[in-house]
Amino acid sequence: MTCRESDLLVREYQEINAHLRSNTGQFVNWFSFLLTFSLVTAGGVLVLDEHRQGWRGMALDYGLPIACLLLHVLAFAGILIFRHYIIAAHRKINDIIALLGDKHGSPVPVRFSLWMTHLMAAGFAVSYFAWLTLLILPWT
Amino acid sequence: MTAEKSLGMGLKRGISLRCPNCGKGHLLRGYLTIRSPCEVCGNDNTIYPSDDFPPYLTIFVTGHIVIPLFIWSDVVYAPSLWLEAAIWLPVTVLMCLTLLPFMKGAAVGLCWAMDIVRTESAT
Repeated sequence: MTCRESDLLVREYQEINAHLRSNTGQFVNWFSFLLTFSLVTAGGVLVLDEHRQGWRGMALDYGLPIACLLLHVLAFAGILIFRHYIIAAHRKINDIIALLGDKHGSPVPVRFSLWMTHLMAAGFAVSYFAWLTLLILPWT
Repeated sequence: MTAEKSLGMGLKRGISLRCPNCGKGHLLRGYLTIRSPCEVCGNDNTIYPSDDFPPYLTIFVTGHIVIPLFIWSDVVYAPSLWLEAAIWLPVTVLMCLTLLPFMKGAAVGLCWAMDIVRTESAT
């Protein structure tokens, strides 16, 4: 391997590492915001029981829960895609390290990241079923 | 053995716990272990990365069945809390354990239909 090729690989490694760090940070921040927002809104809808008249009542009873449930489906898809992204970045970094002849593996904490996404999915499952309950309650 | 792959065919064969490639061989050995190779067509079904998708799918399906029934029974019969816990917790656990192999089959069938294989196997 020439010096130029080696430099290119090192730069690619640094870019992937920076990309991964930035995306992980943003993903965790957005996830935390969405989960908090979802649970606080669900609580708000639950206590607005006496304001359910006419169109506003319909929106609170059905519109908002259905919209939130659909958003949760998108969030689940995002979590799955994020898991694949972490694994893909980890493999690419491993390949680069092997090409550079280094004996150490990828520094990406894959197991931790996957457990983190499990916790995210668990949080979203709680939030999703809270909204499902809010959607079903007016029917009973 | 298979003329054309389709999502419906993959899901149908997977949910019925048959090899997605031939639809005849058993997909699982034991509770959740993928049988490889298939005893009929010899296809290696371990290359399909079902990973954590089956538990997610199981929770999703179970929740949509258990939660409406739970709320309905609570409103209509208003049983005591201990009775509700005694009924719905075992029902939820049993439903999860029962559905999990079928959801795993569905996930494998989905991967087969969409040609999603583990990277190590693909290279």
